[in-house]
Parts: sequence; structure tokens; C-alpha cells
Amino acid sequence: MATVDIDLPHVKDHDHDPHHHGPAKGIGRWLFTTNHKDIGSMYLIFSLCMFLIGGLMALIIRAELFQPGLQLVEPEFFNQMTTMHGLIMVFGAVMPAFVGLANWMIPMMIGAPDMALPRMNNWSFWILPFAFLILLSSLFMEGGAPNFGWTFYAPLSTTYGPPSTTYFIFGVHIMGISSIMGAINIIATILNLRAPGMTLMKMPLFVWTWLITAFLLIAVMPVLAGVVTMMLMDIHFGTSFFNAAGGGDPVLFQHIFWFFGHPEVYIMILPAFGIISEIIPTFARKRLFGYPSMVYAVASIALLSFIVWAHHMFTVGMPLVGEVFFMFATMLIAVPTGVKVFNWVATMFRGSMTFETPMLFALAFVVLFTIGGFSGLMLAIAPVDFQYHDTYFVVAHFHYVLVPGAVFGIMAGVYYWLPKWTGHVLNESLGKFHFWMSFVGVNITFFPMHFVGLAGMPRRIPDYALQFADFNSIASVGAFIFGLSQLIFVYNIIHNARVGEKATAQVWDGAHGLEWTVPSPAPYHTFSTPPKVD
Amino acid sequence: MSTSSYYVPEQSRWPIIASVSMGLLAYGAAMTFNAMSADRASFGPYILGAGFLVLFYVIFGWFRDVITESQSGLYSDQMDRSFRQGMLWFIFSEVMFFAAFFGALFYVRTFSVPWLGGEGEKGVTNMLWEGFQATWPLMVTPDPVQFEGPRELVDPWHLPLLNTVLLISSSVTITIAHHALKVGHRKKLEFWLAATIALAVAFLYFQVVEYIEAYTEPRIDVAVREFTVRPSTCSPDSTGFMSPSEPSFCL
Amino acid sequence: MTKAMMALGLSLASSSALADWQVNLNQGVTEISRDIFDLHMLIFWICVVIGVGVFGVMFYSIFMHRKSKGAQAAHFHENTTVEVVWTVIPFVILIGMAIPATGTLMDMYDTSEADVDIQITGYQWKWRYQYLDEEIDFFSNLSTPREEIYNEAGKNPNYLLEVDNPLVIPAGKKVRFLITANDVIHSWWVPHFAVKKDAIPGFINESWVRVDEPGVYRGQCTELCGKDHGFMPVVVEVKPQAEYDAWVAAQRAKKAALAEAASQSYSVDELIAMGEGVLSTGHAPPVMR
Ligand code: HEA
Ligand code: HEA
Ligand code: CUA
Ligand SMILES: [Cu+2]
Repeated sequence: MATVDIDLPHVKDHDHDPHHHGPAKGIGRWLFTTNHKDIGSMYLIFSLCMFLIGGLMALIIRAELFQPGLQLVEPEFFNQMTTMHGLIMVFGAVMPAFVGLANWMIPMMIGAPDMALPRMNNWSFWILPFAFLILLSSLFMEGGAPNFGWTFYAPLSTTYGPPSTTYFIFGVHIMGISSIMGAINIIATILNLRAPGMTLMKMPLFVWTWLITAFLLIAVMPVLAGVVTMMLMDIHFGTSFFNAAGGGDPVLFQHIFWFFGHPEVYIMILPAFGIISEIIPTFARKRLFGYPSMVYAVASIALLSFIVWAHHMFTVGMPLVGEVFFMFATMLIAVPTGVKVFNWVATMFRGSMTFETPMLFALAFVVLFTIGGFSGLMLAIAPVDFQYHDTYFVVAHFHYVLVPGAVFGIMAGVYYWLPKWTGHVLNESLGKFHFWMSFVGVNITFFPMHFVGLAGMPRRIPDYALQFADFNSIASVGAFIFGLSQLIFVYNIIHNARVGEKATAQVWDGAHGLEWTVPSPAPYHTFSTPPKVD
Repeated sequence: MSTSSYYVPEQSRWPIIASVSMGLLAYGAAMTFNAMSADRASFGPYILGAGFLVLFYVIFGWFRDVITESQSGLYSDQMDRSFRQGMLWFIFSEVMFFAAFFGALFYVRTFSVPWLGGEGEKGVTNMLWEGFQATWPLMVTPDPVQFEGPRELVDPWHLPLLNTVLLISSSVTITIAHHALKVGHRKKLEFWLAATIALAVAFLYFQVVEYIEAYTEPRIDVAVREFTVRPSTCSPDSTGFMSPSEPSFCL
Repeated sequence: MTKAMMALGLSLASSSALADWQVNLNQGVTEISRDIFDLHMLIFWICVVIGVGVFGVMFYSIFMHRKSKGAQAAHFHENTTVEVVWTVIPFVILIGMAIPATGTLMDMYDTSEADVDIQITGYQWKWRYQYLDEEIDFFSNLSTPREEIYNEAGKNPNYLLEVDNPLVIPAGKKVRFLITANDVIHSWWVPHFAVKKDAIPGFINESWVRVDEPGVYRGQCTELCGKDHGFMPVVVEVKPQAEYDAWVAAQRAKKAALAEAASQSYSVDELIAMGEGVLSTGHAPPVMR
């Protein structure tokens, strides 16, 4: 048993000194671990695998859409690909990646010995592979995988869903349990385990964004669990939550789903805001322009996110007051988000900038996320959304905020902190090559989607009218460029992480924060004695 | 903020076993329900059963470890806070889970049923359901063939009242037990804890009876029944999602 | 490599013969659709201006304040005035956007005083149109042949946007749509009308249109509704009043003929005889849809 700092008399001799206490050997290390770094690594690796699988599905989608006509897959399978791609990317790739980063970095950033509830931490992770095994296994079931979109609207997913829907429901349940436990752990860690002197308003922004994200998770994952439970009852127990014949309403499904769904999209972006807010000051060698306003902005975004859900439902025939209310509330979110963007720019202004790989990803994030935010604002204008809704304009919007937003944020974080994890400096030229290929690829893929969307191409269709052909071919080419470039990333991490040049403790010369005061790689147990923060 | 000693547990096999059990539970439950609805036999119940067995094994093993650690004085006040906060946030998550159901009740009652009955902004809908009138509780559904309405209401003054009493009294007994624990009255603690568990078991028993009755007998639409019929006491009681040890949460 | 590039270039060039490079929303043919287009352009330009401002400052810093140029980092941070300004200005811009948007929304919701009422019902995977005052009632199916979809035949210009029986409405009249569905949720969309409304099973949503310009307008189902979601287009023919009246009359006559055929009572022998007639002539007797 490892205790920190104090030797307890009844603790067995050989492991009372945490300083020499390394990881266990073999597979047992990973199955039984309570170490936040091991668990963080497992989360990150899991997420990378899911990203590749979800990406492969995206490539199937793009290959089918390269030309008009049905050539590679049948519509049934196409719908399964769209659904699984969305689900896997959201719940399998982006969310676990952020939890992985939280596991690695939060204890180091606040001067804690580990996460507050280390065994539960292990449990949160190990549920995930089971959840996704169940989800992926549905691809091989009779009737196929879920095929109703990642938003699984009733009654397509209830009365008309394939048998695998029930597996999907329970998969979502245990995945939700994993997220909730992960979030509880993060909140408990941040609130209880900060080093002396680390007041809330001194916490790094990444920690702040995660504190708020964890709150969002605990508030909305249960609502998702609730809505899938209602589906389960409608399917198997004769209830009629979502069936007018029994007094329910299919639109009720959408209200509950999006009450979860909208905060969910901020769950996928707030930690990225945190990462970017760490990276920009480092490479601009200048303090973040407005720390308090950044904190308040994140909090406002999170609070507003609870009252905007029906902007996904402008065309369902809500009463007029509803439309107007949700339009106004949604537009308001642009204000705090703008505060964040302006802060990043003001931090760069009159700085002394260098452009290492993490910074390149961070800069691309600021520009491309803002473009995605602009299209979001356009979607928020209710009358105009009648023209945008369920077209590729929406697909363009959310990939701009998710891919060069969330995913670039994660990659920036990985490039930034990997030397701290492995003790090796990454190969800068390979990193830059990966960045530029990704940057170009992502824009070729997703920018033309704005055009076809405005021209009238609906989303979730396996085949399309001829006037959309050109931009679709371009997007498909872009998708393969972007997708294949990720192999550079994988190579870069695996290879250079082992053989790269030795990293110093500080790694980046403008970096501040507790994580840069410990050696690289960080020792297995970082802060056996709480550091003093002033 | 931080004390100088924080107990970081050594490797543990419980979490991974617990994950296996959750995988079994999820897979087994899905298999069971699908087979049930399709009226065929399956392995589902066995997998589900195995999941529960493993889960109980984990609960006993894991709790035992925690208690041992606690008794050997490994925990600090700070640890204690972590545990408490963990529990607190978990309860918050339960509240949100049930909020979804109460939100659904609110929606059905204030929006969809009146619309179907021809009232309010989407009253034209009634064109599709000629003859349907919105009432609450919804005794006649828009399509009585597909969804037979309840034949009668569950009388709130019988089983539901009994269960409410059981639930509330369990909060009282657990509080007494808690006080006894604090002042070190072992005997008293044991007695009141046992009483609490007995109440919980009784609660669960009646809950099951009620569900079976509601589901099989008067064919009450659960969605509606859930919502109309029960004066809800403490939010989580009404669906039986809480485990026997949890009545004290309602405090 | 170059070969592959050339092949790619060729395929792009050849397909562009068919495709137009439309990059923006259609103005459409109704007052509402033009209002929406204007709102769209307004918010678009606002975003462009803000974008140019924000990215302008950012790229200025990137080029001027780089370490390789010897830039020294300044030490300023936090400035209440600046922070208030960049909070208030976007807020004001948003209010400026929200007001006209609300006006347009109110117009879209005003379904009163319609001249023609049509009930639209979504089915997996076709549309049904019922003229509530005329007793006209028919289904509208995709008419693109399978061969074109499976690349066994060349694709015609209205590929996937063509139906057997289009919806017909009179020009210059306010037409009210009562939209619903029979199975799952569909969504009825004609971009040129800026009408998009979800068809929810068991509920009715209202929408309306007044088109001045006669013509054929095409759209698609825009809510994922299962396997053939991509294959349930909407085609609307807007006819001048006189032609519309003629069409209604023709539909009525057809319906009357059908009703007559159906109401005749035949003996078993007569039916058999008719059946043989069908086989020998290849013409089916009229059937009710
Ligand atoms: C990371 C994920 C993420 C993020 C951050 C956002 C951010 C926003 N989103 Fe997006 N959204 C999605 C993910 C995300 N979205 C997804 C996945 C969907 C589709 C779901 C589905 O149907 O499958 C979706 C769909 C979606 C819709 C529904 C469209 C439809 O189906 O018809 C709408 C409508 O309002 C919307 C709006 C917004 C707005 C207003 C923001 C705002 O937060 C953006 C704010 C940012 C800015 C505005 C830019 C920076 C600000 C400034 C520089 C300040 C000054 C600016 C002005 C005053 C203009 N989003
Ligand atoms: C974070 C979330 C996220 C991410 C990262 C992505 C990434 C991508 N997405 Fe996706 N997408 C969604 C979230 C996301 N998407 C959601 C929520 C939907 C809506 C679903 C719905 O409608 O229900 C959607 C829908 C969606 C559509 C619309 C489908 C439709 O409407 O029918 C398309 C079409 O082009 C698309 C494309 C892509 C592409 C090309 C990428 C690229 O970025 C992917 C990059 C590619 C790779 C990373 C591949 C790398 C792999 C290899 C090179 C092979 C090696 C493989 C192994 C070793 C196994 N996505
Ligand atoms: Cu009907 Cu999509
Ligand atoms: Cu949203």
C-alpha cells in the first residue's frame, strides 16, 4: 500500500516508500491499476482506437458519396455507418480522450498525489471497452446495427428500430455510468486534493474547464439514461412515452434527448478551450489576457447550455414563443464564446510567439472553431434554420467545431504534454507535417459541405442529385487526405515517444504551471509531498 | 486544503471484475428483453444472472476492503470528504435521471394530451383523433385499440400510501442508527440498522407487488400510471430504481 | 501518381458538365423565402466582418509579434474597458439580428385565411396529398428508375428529384399545408418555398406558401426516416389558376370514373371474363389506389 508522505506503522515494509514505487509488471498493471497516469494512458489509447474505427466508417461514408448513384454500400448499411460513426466519435473518441487528458494532467496541475477515488477511476475506464464491444457487436446482429442516426429519434428507433436497439440502449446505460463516475472523480479531485495555496482562482484553466465539464456531465448523462430507459419501456413494456396513440409524443423524445444533447456538445468543447488557454500563453510567452473573464465565460456557456436545447428542433412545429425563446437564448452563447476568442487573440497580441506543433494546432483551433461558431450562430437564427436544418450545412457546422475544434484541441494537448508523459521530445518536422496535412485536409473535406448544404443537399442520404456531385467528390478526396494524415500522428506518437531526444522538465521555454516543475517523464507517483503554491 | 497524508490504494482487482459484471448485465439484459418480446427462449437470463452474481461478489469484496482500510486508520478527513462528495454528486445524478421522467410527465400533461384532444396551439391535431377528448388522468387514450387505457386508477391511499410510509419511516430509523453510530452505541445501531433494512425489504416487496399488479391486471399504461396516480414522496421512490440501501438518500 | 491525378481531374471535369457550382442559398420564389435569404446574407456578412476583424488582429500578431523577429513579450493583462466593450458590442449586434428574425418567424407561423388546404402525409417512403376541399387524394412516389440509381443507365437531369404524381397548387393563392406522418417522422421541404416542416406521426403541423411564379419546384424529405430516406423527393407544380382549375376538374372526372367502375356490381362470371380480357389485351382495368 502506498501512502503519501507519512509512513504508517502497519504498512508492510517493502512498499512504504512511494518514491521508489514503480508500476507493476505485465498485464496486471493495466487491469488492476489505480494510478492516474496508467488510467489516463488507457483512456487515450482507447480513444485513439475509436477515432480510427469511427474514421474508417467516415471514410466508407465519403467513398459512397464520392459520386452520385449507389456503388459501394446499400442504404441500410449506409445508415448504420452514419449512426455508428457519430456515436463512436462522440462517445468513444472525443469524450474518453478528454477524460484521459484530465487523468494525466489534473493531479499534476493541482499538486495532488492521484485522483480522489483511484479504484473508481479504474472502474470508469474498464466499463468503456465493454460498452463499445456491445455497440460494435450490433453490427453483426440480425437486422444490423442501429441505423437511426446518433440522435436515435423515436419512433424510428422504437417501433421501427432493429432488434439491436435493445443492446444499444444497455450499451448507452453502462457508458453513461462510466462518464458519470469519471466526472464525479474529477470534481472530487479538484475540490479536495488541491495543494495548499492552490485556490480556485489560481487553478490552471484546463482544470477549470474540466470542473465545469464534469458538472455538465453529471447533470445530463442521467437524462440520456432516462430517455433510453423510456425507449426501452416503449419497446418492451407497452408504454407510450413517444407514441401519440397512447397520449405521448415523438417530439417529447427530442426535447429530452436534446436537453442532454446540447450540453453534450459543450462537454466536447470546453476542455479543448482549457487546453488552448494553456498553450497560447506558453508559446506567446505572455500571460493569458483575462483569466477571471475566461473562467466566467466558461461558466456562462455551461449555464446557458441548459436553456437552448430546442434549437435543434426549430422545424418540429413548436409553438411560436418556444421558437423565439430558444433562438434568443442560443444567440446569447455567442457572447461568452466571443469573450474567449478575443482573450486568446489579446494574449497573442504583442507577445513573443514561436510556432511549435502544439501552437500550430492551437492557432488552427482558434480560426477554424470560430468559423464553426459563426455557422452555429447562423443556425441559431430560427427562420433561417428552416432552410439549413438537416442539410449538409449543419454537417459542415458541427464538423468545424468538432474536428478542427475538439479533435485539434486534443491533438494540441497531446503534442504539448506528450514529452512530459514519455520524457522524449517529439519530432518537430513530423509534427508540422502532420499539422499541415491535417489543416489542408480538414478544410478540403468540410468547407465544401457548406456549399452543398446551402444548395439543398439533405444529410443522412446515401445518394444525391447531380448538382451536388462536384463538391461531394472534393469533400471525399479531402476526407482521405485528412484520414491518412492521421497515420502520421500515430507513427509520430509511437515512434518518437520512445526514441526522441530527452526532454527537460520544463520542455517548452514559455511554460508555467506545476506540471512543468516535475521531471520528464513525470515519476509514477508525482506529488508525494504537496507542493507549496503561492 | 490538503493534509500531508493521502491514501492512494494499491492495485485492486475489484474494478475490472465489476466492469465484467456490468458487461454481462448489459448484454444479458438486452438478450433477455429481446427474447421476451419475441416470445422465444434465450441464454439471456443466465448471462444476466451471472452478471448479478459477480456484482454481488464485487460489492461484498470491495466494501470489505474499504471497511478494513477505514478501520486500520488509513483514511484522513480529506479522504472522507472525497467519499462524501462522491456520494453527493451521485445523488445529484439520480435526481437528474428522475428529472427526465418528471419532465416527461409535465410535457405529456400540459402539451401533448391537450393537443391531441384539440386544445392549444396544435389543436388541429385532433383531426387525426376524432372523438378523443383530453382528460387527466388519461382514462381513454387516443387509440384505445392500440393502447387500452387504464380500467381503474391505482388508489393512492393503499399500496402507494403504505410504501410512502415505509420509505419515510426508513429515513427516521436510519437517522437514529446514525446517531447511535456517532455516540458509539453498538447495540442500538445494530437494531435500528436492521429495522431500516427490514423496512427497505418491505418497501421493495410491495413495490414489486404493485408493479406486477399494474402491469398484468388492469393493464394500466405505465407511462400514465406512473404519473397520474402516485403522490410522489421523495422523487426516486416511484420507479423502484433505488436499491434497498438507499432510502436514507431521501433525507 | 500523375496518372491518378489526371484521372481524378478528368472525372471532376466531366461531372461538372452536369453539376452547377451553386455555393449559396436560393433566393426562392416566395416573400418568406426572400426574407429568409436576406436574413441569411445579413448574418453571413456580419460574421465575415467580425471574422476579418478577429483574424486580422490575430494574423497581425502572428506576423509582427514573433520571437524570430525579435519581439519582446509585453506584460499587460486585464483591462475592464476592453472587456466590457467586447462583451457589449456582440450583444448589441445580436439584438439587431434577433428583431428582424422574430418578425419573419411570425409571418411564417401565420397560417390563417388560406385559400386551399392540403393535408400532406409522410409514409415510408412516399408522400400522400389530400386536398381537403376537393376530395382529391393521391400518393407521390420517386420515379427515378433503379437502373439509374445502380449506375446501369445514364442519369437524367432530375435524377432522384422526380416523382410520378407531383403536388399541384394554384399560383398566387395562399395554400395551407397540414403536415403529418403515418409511420416515422419525415420532413417536407421545398427549398424554393422555404417551407420545411417535420411530419410527426399522430400530430399535425401547419405551414403555408404563396407562390406567384408558376413552375416546377423540387425538394426532398429531410428527416432520416429509414432505408429509403434519400429516395422520397417532393415535386410541386405551381399552375396558373385556370390551369389549376382544369387539373382539379380532370382529377374529379377521373375519380368519378373510378367510383363508377368500383360501384358496378359484377357477377362472378363477368369478373372472370374481365380478368381474361386483361390477360389477353394487356390492359388492366382501372384500380383504386
Ligand atoms: C463542439 C461541438 C459544438 C459546438 C461548440 C457548437 C456551438 C454552437 N452551435 Fe452547434 N452543433 C453541434 C456541435 C457544436 N455546436 C452538433 C454536433 C450539431 C448537430 C447535431 C445533430 O443534429 O446531429 C450542432 C447543431 C447546431 C444547431 C442545430 C442545427 C440544425 O439541426 O438545424 C444549432 C442551431 O442553433 C447550433 C448552434 C450552435 C451555436 C450558436 C453555437 C455557439 O456555441 C457558437 C459560438 C461561437 C461563435 C459565435 C464564434 C466566436 C464568437 C465571436 C468571435 C464573437 C462575436 C460573434 C458574433 C456576435 C457573431 N448547432
Ligand atoms: C467528434 C466527432 C466527429 C469526428 C471527429 C468526425 C470526423 C469525420 N466525419 Fe463525422 N460526424 C459526426 C461526428 C464526427 N465526425 C457526427 C456526430 C455525425 C452525425 C451522425 C448522424 O447523422 O447521426 C457525423 C456525420 C458525418 C457525415 C454525414 C453522414 C450523413 O449525413 O450521412 C459525414 C460525411 O461526410 C462525416 C464525415 C466525417 C469525416 C470525413 C471525418 C474525418 O475527420 C475522419 C478522419 C478519418 C480518419 C481518422 C480515418 C483514419 C483511419 C485510417 C486511415 C485507417 C486505419 C484504420 C485502422 C487501423 C482501423 N461525418
Ligand atoms: Cu422520409 Cu426521410
Ligand atoms: Cu446545440
